[in-house]
Amino acid sequence: MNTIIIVALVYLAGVFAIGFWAMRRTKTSADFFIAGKSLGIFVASMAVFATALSGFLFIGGPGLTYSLGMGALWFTFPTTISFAMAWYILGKRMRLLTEATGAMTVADAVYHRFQSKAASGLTAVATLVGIVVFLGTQVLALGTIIAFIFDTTVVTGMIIGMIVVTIYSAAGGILAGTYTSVFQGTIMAAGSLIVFFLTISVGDGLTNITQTIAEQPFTDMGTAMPEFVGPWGLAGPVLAMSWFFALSIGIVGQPHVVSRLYMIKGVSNLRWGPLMAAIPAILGGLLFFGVGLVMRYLVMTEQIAPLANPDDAILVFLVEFTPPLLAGIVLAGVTAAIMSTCDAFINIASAACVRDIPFAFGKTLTDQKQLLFGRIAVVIIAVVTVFVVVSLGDQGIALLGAVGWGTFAAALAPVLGIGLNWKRATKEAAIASVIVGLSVSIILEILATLGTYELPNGIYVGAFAMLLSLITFIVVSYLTKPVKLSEKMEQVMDA
Amino acid sequence: MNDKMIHLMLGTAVLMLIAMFLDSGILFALAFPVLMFAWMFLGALRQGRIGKGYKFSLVSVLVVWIGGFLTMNLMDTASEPSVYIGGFPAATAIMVYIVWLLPFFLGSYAYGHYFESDCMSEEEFKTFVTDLRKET
Repeated sequence: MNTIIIVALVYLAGVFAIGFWAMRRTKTSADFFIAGKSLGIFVASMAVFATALSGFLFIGGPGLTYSLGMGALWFTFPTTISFAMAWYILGKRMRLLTEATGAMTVADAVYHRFQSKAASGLTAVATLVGIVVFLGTQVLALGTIIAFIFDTTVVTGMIIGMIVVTIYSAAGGILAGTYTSVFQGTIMAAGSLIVFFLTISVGDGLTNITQTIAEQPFTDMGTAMPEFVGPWGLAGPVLAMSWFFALSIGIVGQPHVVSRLYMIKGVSNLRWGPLMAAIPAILGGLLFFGVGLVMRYLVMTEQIAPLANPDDAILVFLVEFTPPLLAGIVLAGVTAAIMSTCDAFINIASAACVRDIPFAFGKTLTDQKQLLFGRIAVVIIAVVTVFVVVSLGDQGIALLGAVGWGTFAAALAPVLGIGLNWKRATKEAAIASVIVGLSVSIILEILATLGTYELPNGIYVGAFAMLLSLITFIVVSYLTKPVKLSEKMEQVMDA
Repeated sequence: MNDKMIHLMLGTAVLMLIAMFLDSGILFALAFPVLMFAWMFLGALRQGRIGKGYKFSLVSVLVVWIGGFLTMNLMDTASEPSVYIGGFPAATAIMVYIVWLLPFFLGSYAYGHYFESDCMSEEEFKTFVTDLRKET
């Protein structure tokens, strides 16, 4: 455990050093919110990967594979194409939009496209709501992993983690977040590959692992279930394909991913972005199913006891079956994954507070005030999030966690993805689509978590809400009168 | 062409909702790849037209997805597997090697490969920026 702690401390020192370096380079609000449009291809791609995948890939992913089998992989399989999807439909448009209008946030993009402060303000509200719920789950995961490493309580872990994230986010803005993401993304990718090969070695080969699972009765379930290693696992085809659908197209609605497209230095830097973001994501996918499957194999061959909490799969594997130095590096990488997502969320929430929501009410702050208030907002958001997570307890966290990615996808993907590529789209459609996506997603998730109502056939709420939002957007566009686009918007959409 | 993609999205979105409520894997497997194809195709269009490279790439991804998802839906995955390919039962091997990894080359690699001709060259970007500066 000492080795793990030393590696974690070295890692934290590295993160602080990056934050200090970035602070010296952050002089304007454009530096703070969109890194001064300065990112090269490798930095931008790695930051997108690290931000998009969060702690879920490394903690929830192996646990889900352990519980549901290969069907869980539909959560990670979109990565070979989802970044390309975002780049095909938004990459060039977002980069040109910031050139033409100075847009820095997703709400800015919606305002310039639809010339509507209401649509832009609603987008900012959706962004803020989505971030608060998503950030809450990230903070809890951060607290859990730090508590594991330093043998402390989860609340103390959350506070330590958020202090680190807040310091470098407030000091260096998105620039610090981006460069720590590169540092973190590299650790995550390399660690994933090594751990994957270790899992195969521990299980005496992939065929042996899958064949054993397919043929033997489950020790904790009593029967043989070959479908566990089938393509749908225990999830079933429609649910598994719904995950694939929602996570593929839904990436366009993730503000922490999409806003990175503003930050790319030149349009040619877009070129290999999807490919470079997909490579580390594929490596993360190997860890996702490698650890989950081998832990199930180890339980079935009675080498370990069944896990009380499936989310412990990665932690147990690292502690029991890997050298301490590697365990330390991978655990630092997992912490890194969560932190990189946290800092991106905090930065975007800060932009929503000091730019987007005031703008919706007709107020615009000066550049220096945006920078100052942006930093203050980072601290306030961090403190409020920790307070909310601690106050809500387990039930509240379950509610928060249920919403997550699907809320962003449902509320924002059609407005951005179709809105920036289809001139017939109207502001009324944008407003209706955001309201439908946000409300359907949140209400259904809360009802399901409270046990009041669930969609039939295990329908995935995120996919269902996104389909409704998409249909609303198209139908309302056809039912309302389009407004002539501004000249600059015409240029962006024609380019 | 943009309107056609929008109609395609609308139609397939409705079919997907029906598939969800009927719990029909086959209908879902037919509809959702088409929606995702229309989504990317819409983004790849420039003034209603698409470059040959991107067209080939996206149509290939569509064929892989429809073929892959339909095949997996039609295979029996509840019985003990008799064939293992690359470490996985046959249906899972289709998922991993065809549906997961192949789009990496057909979609993600192709995006970069055809970028200059089908998306935007550096020259076009410079012209775009120059035109903007002239206007302002």
